Amino acid sequence: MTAVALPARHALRGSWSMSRALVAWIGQWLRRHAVSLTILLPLLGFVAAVQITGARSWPSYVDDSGVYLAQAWAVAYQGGLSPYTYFYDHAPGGWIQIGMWAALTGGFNRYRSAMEFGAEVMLLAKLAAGAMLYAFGRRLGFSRPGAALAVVLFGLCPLAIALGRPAFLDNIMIAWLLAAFVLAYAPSRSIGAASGATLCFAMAVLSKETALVLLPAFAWALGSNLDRRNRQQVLTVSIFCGVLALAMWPLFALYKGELFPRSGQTSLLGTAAWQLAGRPSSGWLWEGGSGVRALLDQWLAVDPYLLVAGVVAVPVAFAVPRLRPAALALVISWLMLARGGHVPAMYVVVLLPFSALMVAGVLEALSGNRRIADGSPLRVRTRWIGRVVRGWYTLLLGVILLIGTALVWNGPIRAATTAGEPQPLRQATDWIGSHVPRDKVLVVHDAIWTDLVHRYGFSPHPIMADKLDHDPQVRETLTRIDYLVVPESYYRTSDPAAYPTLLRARDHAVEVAAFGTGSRAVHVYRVSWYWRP
Amino acid sequence: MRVLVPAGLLIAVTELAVFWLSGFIAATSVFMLAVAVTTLVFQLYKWWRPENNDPGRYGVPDAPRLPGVILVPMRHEEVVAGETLKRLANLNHPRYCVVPIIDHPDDPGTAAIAHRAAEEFPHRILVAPYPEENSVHNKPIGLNAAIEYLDAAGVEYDWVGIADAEDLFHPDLLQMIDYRFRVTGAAVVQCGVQLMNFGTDPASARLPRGPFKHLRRWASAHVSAWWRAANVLEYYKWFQSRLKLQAAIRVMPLGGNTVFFRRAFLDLVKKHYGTVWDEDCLTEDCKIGILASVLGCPVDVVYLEHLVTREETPSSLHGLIRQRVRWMQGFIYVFAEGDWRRLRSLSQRAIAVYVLGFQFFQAFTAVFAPIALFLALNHKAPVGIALLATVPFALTLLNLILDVQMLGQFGRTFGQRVRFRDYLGLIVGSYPYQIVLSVAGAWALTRHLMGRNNWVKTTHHGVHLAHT
Repeated sequence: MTAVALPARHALRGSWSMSRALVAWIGQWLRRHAVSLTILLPLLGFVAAVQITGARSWPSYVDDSGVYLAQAWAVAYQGGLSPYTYFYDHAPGGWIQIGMWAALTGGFNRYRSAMEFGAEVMLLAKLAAGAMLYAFGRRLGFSRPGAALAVVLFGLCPLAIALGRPAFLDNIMIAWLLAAFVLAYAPSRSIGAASGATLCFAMAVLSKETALVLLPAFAWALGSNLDRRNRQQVLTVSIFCGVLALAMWPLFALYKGELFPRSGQTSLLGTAAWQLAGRPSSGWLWEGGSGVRALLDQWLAVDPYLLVAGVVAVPVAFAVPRLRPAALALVISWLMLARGGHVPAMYVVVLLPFSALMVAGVLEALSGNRRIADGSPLRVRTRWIGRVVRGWYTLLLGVILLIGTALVWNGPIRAATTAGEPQPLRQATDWIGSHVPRDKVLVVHDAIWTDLVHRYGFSPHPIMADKLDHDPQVRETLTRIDYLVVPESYYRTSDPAAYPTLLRARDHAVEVAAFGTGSRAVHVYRVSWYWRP
Repeated sequence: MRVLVPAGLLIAVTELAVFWLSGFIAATSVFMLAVAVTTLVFQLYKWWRPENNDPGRYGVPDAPRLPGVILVPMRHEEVVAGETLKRLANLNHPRYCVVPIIDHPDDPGTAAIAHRAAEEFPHRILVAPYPEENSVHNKPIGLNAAIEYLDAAGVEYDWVGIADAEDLFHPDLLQMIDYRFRVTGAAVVQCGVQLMNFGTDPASARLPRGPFKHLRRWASAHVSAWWRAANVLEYYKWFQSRLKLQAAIRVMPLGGNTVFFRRAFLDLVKKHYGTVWDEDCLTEDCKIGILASVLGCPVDVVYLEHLVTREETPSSLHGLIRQRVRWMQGFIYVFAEGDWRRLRSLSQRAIAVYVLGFQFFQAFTAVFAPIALFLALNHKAPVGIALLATVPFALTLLNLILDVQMLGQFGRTFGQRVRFRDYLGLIVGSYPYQIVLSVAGAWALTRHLMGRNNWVKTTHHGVHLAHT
């Protein structure tokens, strides 16, 4: 049949448009969260300023972050997961994200050093984590000041600043992890929110595999926010989505034929077995002189307050049903520390936001916040006058806490944000750039590898000191070494078997330049032409 | 010429596939991913948020007050006509009338049954004649003729419902319709239709004639279980989720029965198009739904387990394919005709394309997802592309898991026992079922291109009566 007189399109009523629905939704969202945004945005701006000011000179360059940036560079410019053989030491999600950000924004070209680009990415991760922490607190039932307190504690803790600047995968992981908790507590209880939560959790694990130990806490959070009317479908879809996303890593290995251990080849399961069992243990937390104890002392030297306050808050938090899953996350993280396995220095990153959340949450519960305290021993049984008195006392406590925090953190933050000594490795890089021909073979510290390759264009690519003796591909192709650029600590290592080739090369080298003092000092050595590795 | 263009396109795609396999796999994977995700989202709408599945979401109907008629097109329906008319004449509503539409010279058997029923319920049943001068028999011609007959007879009505010859409406259905018309101001109310006979239960199949008939029925029930369960679940998902979502975004192909129109809406369609139902279209229900969307008339969808109209699955696999060919060809017709281009917003037009083409996309995705993965793995495509090809494949797996879960839920809702072999049939049959749909899609497209447009009717045997 043919239309006789169809009305013109503009005269028709009742249409639905995706863009209009989206605009309406955004408008609604902004109106609903206007107050929170006016609190959160300036706060995050301040945190960002503290985080980025002085990032160039403190803390000193770390090899791990150099490796991750080099791998991100390989993602962006070589389409691979690593400039060397990828041996499944970590899930690759973290540096794939850094690499994609670099590819999208030309990140490695925007700064004089890759480390500064790394600091930028970490800043973004920190801001995301801060925003998610605020949302997490709000969804647990915190008042706005309470949620903001958690953000202040996490954002300005000197330890969080010190470990939040170098490009550590944990910083990216924590943002995804907090987002997973936020979505798990979504009031809509929809399939979309739950699937988003499991996908975020999977992203956290793919960014840094240690997040997997927090699965019980996450599952508890997700399970406590289900609705009878759609529980079955929510669980099926969200669990499947999470597992599917997580499966991408083993599938990657499987498709490459590198899942199961085979001789002469890297494999995911082989590396996992080595990491879980074969690696030297850092000792037990309560053993004086053990590696993990030294690490704890190192952390507490930077900032004891937040970590200790978090531990103190845990027992109270467990009395409050609403806070239990988050408290469990903190407990699991501490237990992993005490378990006696290998613990890296940046492990503490995962403890900080949950500690901040616990401190703020316990204060909320003590103040008699009904959404948190009801149903727990801390609920307010008295009339309104008792409620007001308790509220005032808690406010007072909070203010005292804030003032105390400001006093004890003032010094470390000031130190972190003032420009200090230039980094010796950075000076050495600049010197090499202007004094060494580009075709020389360099053995370098991991942190300057990307700059020498990307900014100075050394070809053949310099060799990371760690790879010199451990990567079979490097050893096969190695014919000569011309320069050594690593900090003094590499030569003073207690284990001479760690870098045998490096030590032998230095025996045949002369010093041509030196920067800095102490173990941070970097001496540039030129290796004899007649020496062959 | 009309055949040449798709043929050329096919050749071009094949060339591309051969020369640039990785890119081809990546492109198809992205497309399949989009289809798989939207399929999931559409079919999970009912469970997406808890409130979408709230038992009280439709409200409690008050006393009905709008007069209406129920049109029942019938042709060679001697087996079920008597039962259906008796049931339809006894619904809980004060002012309605049932109008069977029958071609008297062509079908004296059904006509006799209908007139006997009309004598039994003189104020409820009014037989409308199918236009005898018309040699073509199809549903829209009958419906249009019935509306004209009613207008000429001066019957007073505010809404028009459509039932198929085997449809047993729930006695309280009209109360809910009446209530929803008044509360939502909807122009159309679509109520749930549910296929019931899903499994290996021999009672779910027709008893054949001849020797060993019980044994043969048992065997045929087991042999056909693989597609029956999938067919039943399709309805379960369509009416509970897809239609609700499409009503919300206002792009809506309707179902063929248990659908109720406000008279004002039918008059509006008639004013713009000359007739109400498109007599050339194989799926006049889809067409009028799209017209409702174009005219901006809101549609309400009601699926309450106890109110759904229970139907039977097609009697044989061949019947299923023919039914699908008809639907798909009808959808192609609606698409080619282009009324959907009048939809007001770009989003709606895009969704209209998606909705009309959906059955093709879905069949394509389900069939090609494993093939794409196999190709990616066997032809040493880059790992990233192999991973990408894995995701749509995995999502079809999720679909299957959800189907199994839903079959259990279906059994609990309608009080039918779901046996292990039923689940097994569903799992084993899921992939062949998609192949069947793909075959139907290809056949429909061929028929459309060849200009063959005759009616392929579904036969009714009254198997579902055993379950009511």
